[in-house]
Amino acid sequence: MTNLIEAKDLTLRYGKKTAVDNVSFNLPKGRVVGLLGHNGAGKTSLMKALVGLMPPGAGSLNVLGLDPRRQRTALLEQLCYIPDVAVLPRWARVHELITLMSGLQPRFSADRARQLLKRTSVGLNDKVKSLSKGMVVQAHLALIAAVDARLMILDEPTLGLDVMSRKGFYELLIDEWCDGERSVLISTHQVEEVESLLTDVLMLDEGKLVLNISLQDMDQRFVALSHDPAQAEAIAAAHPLLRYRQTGGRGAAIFDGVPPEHVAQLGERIRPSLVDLFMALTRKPALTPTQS
Amino acid sequence: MSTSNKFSTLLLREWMQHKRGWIATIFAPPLLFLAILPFGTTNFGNHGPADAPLLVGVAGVSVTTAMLFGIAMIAITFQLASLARRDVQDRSIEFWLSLPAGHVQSLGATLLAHVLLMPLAAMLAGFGIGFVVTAAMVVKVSGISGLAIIPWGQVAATAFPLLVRWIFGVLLAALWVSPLAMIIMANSAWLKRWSIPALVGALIFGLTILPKVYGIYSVQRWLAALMQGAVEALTFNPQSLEEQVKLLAHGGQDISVSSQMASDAWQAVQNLASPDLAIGLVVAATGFALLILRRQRGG
Repeated sequence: MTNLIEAKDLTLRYGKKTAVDNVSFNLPKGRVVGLLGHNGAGKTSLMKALVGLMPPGAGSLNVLGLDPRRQRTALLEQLCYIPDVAVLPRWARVHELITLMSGLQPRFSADRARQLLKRTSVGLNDKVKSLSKGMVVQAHLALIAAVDARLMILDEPTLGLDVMSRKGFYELLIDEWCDGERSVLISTHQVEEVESLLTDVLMLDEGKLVLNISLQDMDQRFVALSHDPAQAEAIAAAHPLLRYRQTGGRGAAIFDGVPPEHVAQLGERIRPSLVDLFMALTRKPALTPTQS
Repeated sequence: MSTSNKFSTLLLREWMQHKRGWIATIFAPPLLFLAILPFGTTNFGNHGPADAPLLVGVAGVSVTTAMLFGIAMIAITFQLASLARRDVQDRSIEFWLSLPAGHVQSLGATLLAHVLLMPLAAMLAGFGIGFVVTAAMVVKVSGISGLAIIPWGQVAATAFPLLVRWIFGVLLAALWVSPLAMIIMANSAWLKRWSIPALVGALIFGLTILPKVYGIYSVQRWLAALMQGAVEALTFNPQSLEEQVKLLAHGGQDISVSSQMASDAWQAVQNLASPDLAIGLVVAATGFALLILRRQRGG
């Protein structure tokens, strides 16, 4: 099996409302993939379908060679999943969670969990309800990262956390879990924070997959031009994906592909950030000429 | 990792989460009783420790056992509705659903722990505590020397078959009350805050409007049959038990409690062949399926 996830023409619905619309993608091993999208774009629905908590309305979905809906328990034995922020049971102590996971998750290592928890400020005897939100998330990741799996699925794992907690979370993830063989699928809309971690990006916009690309290919495919405000109209005439203002009053525009030579000469090429590309592909807020 | 290992872990989870409440439910009432005993009056009626020592011993142990079992059942009844939405309300449902445990296993462990194991634990604890409570009452009435009057070995030998009968009865009674428990839980899981008004409305409709307005007594009769079945599962023939008590009161030493209890248990088993129970089990299975469906949809 070369791909850990294979989705083909996948559609997910809540009643008559379509949450994910005819999406196809593969996720090979050794990748850290960001699933980006605004609120309501379909990220959580897709994540739930990946772990068997939502049935496909149409199309096919295969995760680790298994049907997530029909083989949910077998699938969850082979992957790690953090569904949301601070969902650990508040009544439990951390050592009790280790005991429970040891009995429920066959690939879980209690020793490894204790070792990972030492990297955090969470004690084994701490009660979840006495921990801050950031500490709960760290504890959850330490527990989940102690599962010897090939795929980790994280749904908005750091939403609402402060910068220190978010940084700590991603450091723990990269240092202790990612080894080049395992893959991670992170759903988030805190695009700028995960950009440095990612190898690939999936972008969802209103249920449709608008981008599925590696960051390496992204740099080659998308071109951003930084230009003087005076060139704004000429740049706009070339129909870029997005125009926006940079600090210092300069304008910038993102093109899908290399712009024509006469347009390219109007500015200097810069690397488009993931945030700008995300805006370009999911919201497209065209600026008026006076703004640029 | 075997299915049974996961199931026992899920049972352990119930213990971890509810142990304080369970321990308080079982031990607080007798401790309270023992604490206030020195300040109250104790009256054994016509049969004091000196007149009918075996009766006093067996009655003390049996009543304590039954009381603690009853308290546990009342506590569980009030807890059932909230139990259905427990993990949703504290948001931990997402965590539990992220672990490789089946929906049937997870719900089954919760039900087994609360509907069967906790009441059984209360009954067993009640049996042990019953000796302490009886001894305290005897000391209160007859002084410390009164303890020597009670034939404790014989009390244990006589009360133990009763305990075994009741333990077996709890298993059977669980079948009889399962439709009611499942209705309460499924109702709470699906209708959430509307569950209590819906339950009250359904009871008024089924027990009052249907019989009085439409002359339909089937719901009323069915619920009564379930309750009677549950009571008979614990003691099918109370008259027989009463006769045993009278024999004990008159100093009877040779009564065969074991064979009486075995006979009573067999009658309770035969009582299971009931269309009311069959309908009840279908209702219980439907309720369980509704709980599973709710859990599959994220609680």
